[in-house]
Amino acid sequence: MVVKFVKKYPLLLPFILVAIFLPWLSPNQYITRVLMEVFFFAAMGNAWNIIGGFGRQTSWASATFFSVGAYTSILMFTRYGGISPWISAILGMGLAALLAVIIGLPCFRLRGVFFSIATIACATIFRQFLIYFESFTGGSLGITLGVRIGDSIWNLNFLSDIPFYYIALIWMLISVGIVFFIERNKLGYYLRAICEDQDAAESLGIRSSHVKLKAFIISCMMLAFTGTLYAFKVGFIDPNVVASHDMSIRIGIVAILGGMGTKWGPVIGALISVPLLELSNAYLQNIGGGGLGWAVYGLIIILVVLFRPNGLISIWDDIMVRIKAKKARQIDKGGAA
Amino acid sequence: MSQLPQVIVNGLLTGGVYALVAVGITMIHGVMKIVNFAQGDFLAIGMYLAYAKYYLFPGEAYPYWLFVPVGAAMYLIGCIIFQTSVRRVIGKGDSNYILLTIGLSYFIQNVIQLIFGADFKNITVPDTLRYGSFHFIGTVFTLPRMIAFLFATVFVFFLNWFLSKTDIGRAMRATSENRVIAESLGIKSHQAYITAFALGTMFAGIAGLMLSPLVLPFPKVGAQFSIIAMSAMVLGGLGNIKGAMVGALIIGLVESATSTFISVNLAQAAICFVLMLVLIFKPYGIFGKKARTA
Repeated sequence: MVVKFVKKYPLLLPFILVAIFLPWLSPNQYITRVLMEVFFFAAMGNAWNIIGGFGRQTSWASATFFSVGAYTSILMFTRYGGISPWISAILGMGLAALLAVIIGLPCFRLRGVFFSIATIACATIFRQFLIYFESFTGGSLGITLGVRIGDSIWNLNFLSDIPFYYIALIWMLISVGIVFFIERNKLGYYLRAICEDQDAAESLGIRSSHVKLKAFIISCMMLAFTGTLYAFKVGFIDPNVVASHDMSIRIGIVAILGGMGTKWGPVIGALISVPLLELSNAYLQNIGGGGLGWAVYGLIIILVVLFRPNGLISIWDDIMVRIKAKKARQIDKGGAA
Repeated sequence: MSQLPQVIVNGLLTGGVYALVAVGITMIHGVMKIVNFAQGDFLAIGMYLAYAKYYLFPGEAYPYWLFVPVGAAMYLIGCIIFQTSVRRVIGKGDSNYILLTIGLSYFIQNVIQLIFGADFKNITVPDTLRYGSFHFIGTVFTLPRMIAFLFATVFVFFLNWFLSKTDIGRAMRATSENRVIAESLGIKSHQAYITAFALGTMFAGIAGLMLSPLVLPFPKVGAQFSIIAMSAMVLGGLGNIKGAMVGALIIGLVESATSTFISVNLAQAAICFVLMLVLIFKPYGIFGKKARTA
């Protein structure tokens, strides 16, 4: 099984090995930090991909669930006497699942663009509530974790970035595992059937709203867990960042750029989009009023939608097809000779 | 409750301007079945064009005479955007145009930031405009809102006339009913599409110009108007221009009532809440006759 898996994905093993040994190989802390961000966004892209890619229910409420996880664990830690993020992460995932049901039940009655509009509306309502209930959530100023000292896995508190790097890496690999599991599971087949033709799928006995809701809950719980990890890494949350529409778009782009509805798309998308943004923020930020990096980001979505609607991973697929065709031709020639 | 008449007046006047954006997005959806998530950002472009004039030629002035150059510029921008990108996603399924217009909105926001910076801008209008107002039976009609409302009404009526009385307007309506049959009768659907998109863009830009004395422009100012426009469109029933106008007035009322009686911070949430209610319970809009295929 493992051998088969490695044979099928020849690039996977070297990638993981490089990822594992990179913090030792490179003394540059910056690269570690960027890669950690890549892993977080890959995990979130995977979460988005389950409902947005396999089911083609383009949700723009990802930031809502991300911030549910982030807020729950930070509030639990700062307001209720330092409850461990691992415990509050479970609570956050529970709340995210609950919210997913509350948002999903009405939204999944809608199709296509109306689902997208509804998710944007829900995300806006949630963000405004976060800002309005100031006394509890800290309002638009956000909350800080405060100064913490010492290393502790239980409290997710580390002096260096390296432990977080590994946590992010492991979480990303788990999220890839979840995507693989779902893709081979009944749920994945149902989702793809709905994506192709919802009416046909329903006529074959698939309860589409039920299936979509299930996938949405899984996706939202993954986002909430990432939110907890991210909040404890950064130590500060601001509703205008973590719950913003931009955040939802960034999460979506990861999957769109790599390839929606593909297993490796979000990972590839994150590997390209996050460093690209970092680079552009580092080198292009001083041009004009700033924002050039983000503009490039927007341009990339437009270009991908227009010219590579199946994402960058489709380039790889094309190359593989061409190589196979070439091999077949060579075999033909050999036979003729 | 003594504030109630004032709330209604403010709501209707603001709603009139929203109608301009809502009519644009409704027309685009009606003709080419695309929901433009970047409609609010077109409005932001209009605002910044007005600001650019004040930046290049400083001094106090009324912004309204700019509606000719801003309108023309927005029409051109609409044509360019349609020709380069939107044209390719018509009729290719929902997720394509959702992603494209969201990417477009993101792109526009950040290009604006690149050119003008991320901070709030202010245009210098004369005090007579800024503080001018009429008093009428105990309510105050502020001057910029009045002018914006009047302009918006004129434009919306112009559009109604355009759609029902001119050849290209009729062609647009025919294309929106059934593209294949319209084409077989000799209507150039591409022309109808490009006119609809450019007019929609122009209306959003003019709404931005009208709002520029009222709302301080900043790069992401468009996001809230996109939500408002989509809410009004859904409220009025899709593809229904008059419905979108009424929807926009209702949205204006909801916004002004929430900001006065509850909190300014929740105005957006209230609009979204109304939008959700309509989507769930009245999916064909408040006038609901025509079937929606989604």
